[in-house]
Amino acid sequence: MRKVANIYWLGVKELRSFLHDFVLLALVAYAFSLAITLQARSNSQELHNASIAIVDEDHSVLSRRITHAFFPPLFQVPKLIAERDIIPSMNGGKFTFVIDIPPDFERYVLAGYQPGLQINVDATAMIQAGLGSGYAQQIVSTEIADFLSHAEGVPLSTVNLDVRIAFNPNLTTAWFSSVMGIINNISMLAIILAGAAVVREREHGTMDHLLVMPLTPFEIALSKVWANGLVIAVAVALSLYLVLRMMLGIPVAGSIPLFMVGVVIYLFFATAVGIFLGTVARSMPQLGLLYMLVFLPMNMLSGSNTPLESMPVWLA
Amino acid sequence: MPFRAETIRGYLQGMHQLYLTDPAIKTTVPSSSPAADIEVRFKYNQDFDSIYAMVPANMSMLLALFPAILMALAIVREKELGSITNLYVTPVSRVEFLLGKQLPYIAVAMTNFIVMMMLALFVFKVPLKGSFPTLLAGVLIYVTTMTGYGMVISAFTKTQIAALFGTMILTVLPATQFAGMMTPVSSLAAGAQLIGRGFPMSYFVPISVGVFTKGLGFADLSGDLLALVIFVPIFTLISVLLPRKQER
Repeated sequence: MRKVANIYWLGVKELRSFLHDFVLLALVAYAFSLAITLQARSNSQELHNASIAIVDEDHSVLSRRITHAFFPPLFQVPKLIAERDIIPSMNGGKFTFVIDIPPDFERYVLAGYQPGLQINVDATAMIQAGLGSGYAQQIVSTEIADFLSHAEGVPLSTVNLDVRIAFNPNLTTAWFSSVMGIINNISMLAIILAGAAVVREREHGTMDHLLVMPLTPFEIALSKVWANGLVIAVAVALSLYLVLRMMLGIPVAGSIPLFMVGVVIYLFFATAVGIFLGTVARSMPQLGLLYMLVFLPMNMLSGSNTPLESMPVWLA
Repeated sequence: MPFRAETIRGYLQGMHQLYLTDPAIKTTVPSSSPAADIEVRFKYNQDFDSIYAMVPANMSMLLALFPAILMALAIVREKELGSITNLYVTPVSRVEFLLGKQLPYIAVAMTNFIVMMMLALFVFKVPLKGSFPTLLAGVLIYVTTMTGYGMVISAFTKTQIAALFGTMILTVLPATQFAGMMTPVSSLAAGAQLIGRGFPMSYFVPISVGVFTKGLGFADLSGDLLALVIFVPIFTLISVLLPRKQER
């Protein structure tokens, strides 16, 4: 009983020092509200507004049809540029896609010569280049086929493919990125808060005070776990209900309490990692560096960026 | 993971097309052959291998995180532990104090860069195709701005926890999402784009990726270099003017 009381009061002390730091409070609020919203609405992981330019050396009906086939939201409205501008503008990263329609393209297509049409892709913009090159190819070939069949909307293939996407039918990135944002924030905050709580006591010398009191290291560590865990759990719950559900309108299909149970269990792990780093680090800058060595790989390999099954076996 | 589903859908549709045209080609006269030959050329990275884009981009991310965090902590540390009062009573001016703090961290970041470049070249085997002096100049300006970024954050925070977490949250999110590492800044939504444009890394990613993978030189990248240079006086000015000599 005495132990529990000790842990409780030590935790309350921890909470007080946390609530006293207004800048820190504001930062936590920002991390779980505005940062999540921005991330969910950023379109950073989908094909959206991709910059595209077209070099039209043909000036025919077909080339104009191809030009008009690219439009927002997937692509920006194509800019018409000259052939000599392709390399400088792609070097400068102005366009991710440049389509080059050669002279007499329409004439050769009608004559059945199979003329070439070039789609230049800036392969350094990985996600966009990967998704967009497929789309661009499809758009161009559909446009040419439509042009040749002289009737739009004629079914092209004998068997139609019906792709059904489970769980997220419209592939809305926000549904995924917002939750991943919250989870990343949990790991980030839990490790930093718990680790820094230990390092701060050490730097101010109050850790020695605690150790000479009739307290066990177990009690000190556990109080930091519950206090910092509580702060984060509250922030996560608020963020789920207020930001995700109400502001972003993201449907949470499953049970939020179950998710929170998972969060709490995870918090025990994450705060423990933080405390461990805090005992290794002698000063706050050391903690910051150690933290990066732990958090960045943890984050990258967690499956929020790439599914585990796609990683090399020894990493996953 | 929506972008993955989208990629898979693309492959699925491609396979579908292939299966449909394959028997058609084998059995009937090749009347269904495509009307035009659409050639997709992946420039700068013909195999479309992510390592050539990710290594230089990751270098820019690490060169954003480390200098900013170390810088912010170095200043706030003195505030929290009280040793800054020693400086208040010396005839050291604010600018001298801040620049003196900044220089060693710039040096550390440059060493950092050299190590990472060696890793890129010899471990990851990503060739340096463009002009090295341009890259070096870019890195020097970039780490100066990022330490300046850390200085600005240190002006707002009083405790090391807040400084550490603040630098983290204000650096990791823009760096991973809004600075052109994954998606070009011009394709982001308005709010994210605004943050991206106000974050120095957005101007360094084109330099790093440009020199390493696109093989560019000074002339192609002067715009981005200039944009980075502009950040230096802005950040320095904010951190010199903003905090008063208070809390004693």
